[in-house]
Amino acid sequence: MSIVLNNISKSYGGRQVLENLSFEIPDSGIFGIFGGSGCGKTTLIRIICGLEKADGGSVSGAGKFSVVFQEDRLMPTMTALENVTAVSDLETAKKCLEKVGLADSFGKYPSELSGGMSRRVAVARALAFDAQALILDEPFKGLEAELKERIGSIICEYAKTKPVILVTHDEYGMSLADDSVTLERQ
Amino acid sequence: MTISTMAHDSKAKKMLIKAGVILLWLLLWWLLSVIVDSEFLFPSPVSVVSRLFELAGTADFWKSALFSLGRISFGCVLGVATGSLLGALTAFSKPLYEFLSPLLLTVKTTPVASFIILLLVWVKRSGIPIVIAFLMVVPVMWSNVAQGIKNADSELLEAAKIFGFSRKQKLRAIYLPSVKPAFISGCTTAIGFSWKAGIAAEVLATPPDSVGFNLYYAKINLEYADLFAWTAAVIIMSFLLEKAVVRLLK
Repeated sequence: MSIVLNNISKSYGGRQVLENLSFEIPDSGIFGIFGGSGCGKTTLIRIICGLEKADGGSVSGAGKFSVVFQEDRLMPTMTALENVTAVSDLETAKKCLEKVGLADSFGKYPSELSGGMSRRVAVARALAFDAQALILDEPFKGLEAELKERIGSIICEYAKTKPVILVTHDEYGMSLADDSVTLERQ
Repeated sequence: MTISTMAHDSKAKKMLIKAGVILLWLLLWWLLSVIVDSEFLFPSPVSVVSRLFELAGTADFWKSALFSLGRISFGCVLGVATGSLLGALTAFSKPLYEFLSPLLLTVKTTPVASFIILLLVWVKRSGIPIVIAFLMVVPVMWSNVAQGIKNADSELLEAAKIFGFSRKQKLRAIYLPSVKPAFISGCTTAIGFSWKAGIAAEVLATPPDSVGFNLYYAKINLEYADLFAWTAAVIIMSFLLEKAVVRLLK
């Protein structure tokens, strides 16, 4: 199911962040949202996934999103496996953690994980959640080249059947996008 | 030197400092008693401790201490449960908060003596410390628990919304960890408050077999060593109870 954004506008305290933004995200493939800091990328994905309301315009299409937030947002009192089983069944959770290379870290708490490991748990959680579309905000943050490619290929695999919205500054990440929009600071 | 040995040394050092400070205060107390030079008006630490040991050798002491402990703890536990429940309910419901907040403010600002005097008319003497401990604890737990809930990580709550967490999952993963430190700190304050107010209630209501009753009679019989000894007993019981509760909750 494609996602259609129609004349989205948003301002904060008199500052226009997004103005009459319209585009369509296809029902599969990786759609990149690029642009410099403060141009409204995070605001836009928050509006798309329903965490924030636009001042004007509408979003139609997918209703249930899975998200990798810019911060990992893992539940600190849950282990890596518990963080993923909180959104899926045990088998799917284990598979997703294995996919991102964390088969030996099921029982570790977020405080015991490195930055890159936490990022991968956040990706595994998003993959395990049964949604209609996937939104990734800087998923390659803190990952080494080899791991970036590993995560990149998982994202490409996912994008074969569902839309993936990718927000990134990472050069490798940008190269994965099939289509993209570049936002400019208002 | 290993990390565990270093931690052990640092703990031992802290305990040594604490013991040193207590000794210093006892020394100051003793010096003051030497200056006042009247065991009747200002007993020395030695006579207070020896009186405390004498009292501790009697069945009446333990009976009074245990009855006071029972009454005040009962009121405190009821207050913790009620305050926590009200804190949780009002954190999630603004209309309920608006409705109940004048009550909270009234209980918080009314002098404890006013409550005790009112209760002398309405409640049986032995029930007054229970009600007073309850009234002192409710506002503390109420504000602490409500604050703990309001401080729950909004980013985690957003993640929970996206991933469709159930109420139970949100409670376990987000709210309880956020409330726990506020709850423990509330309990610590509540124990201190309930002891102070509960004993004051006993002094004014003089229920039989209570620490307050003994404090009152020590005062009217001018037995100041007894007054100090009973006060020391209250401090020790409050301290031990607080330590036990914090250890249990942590």
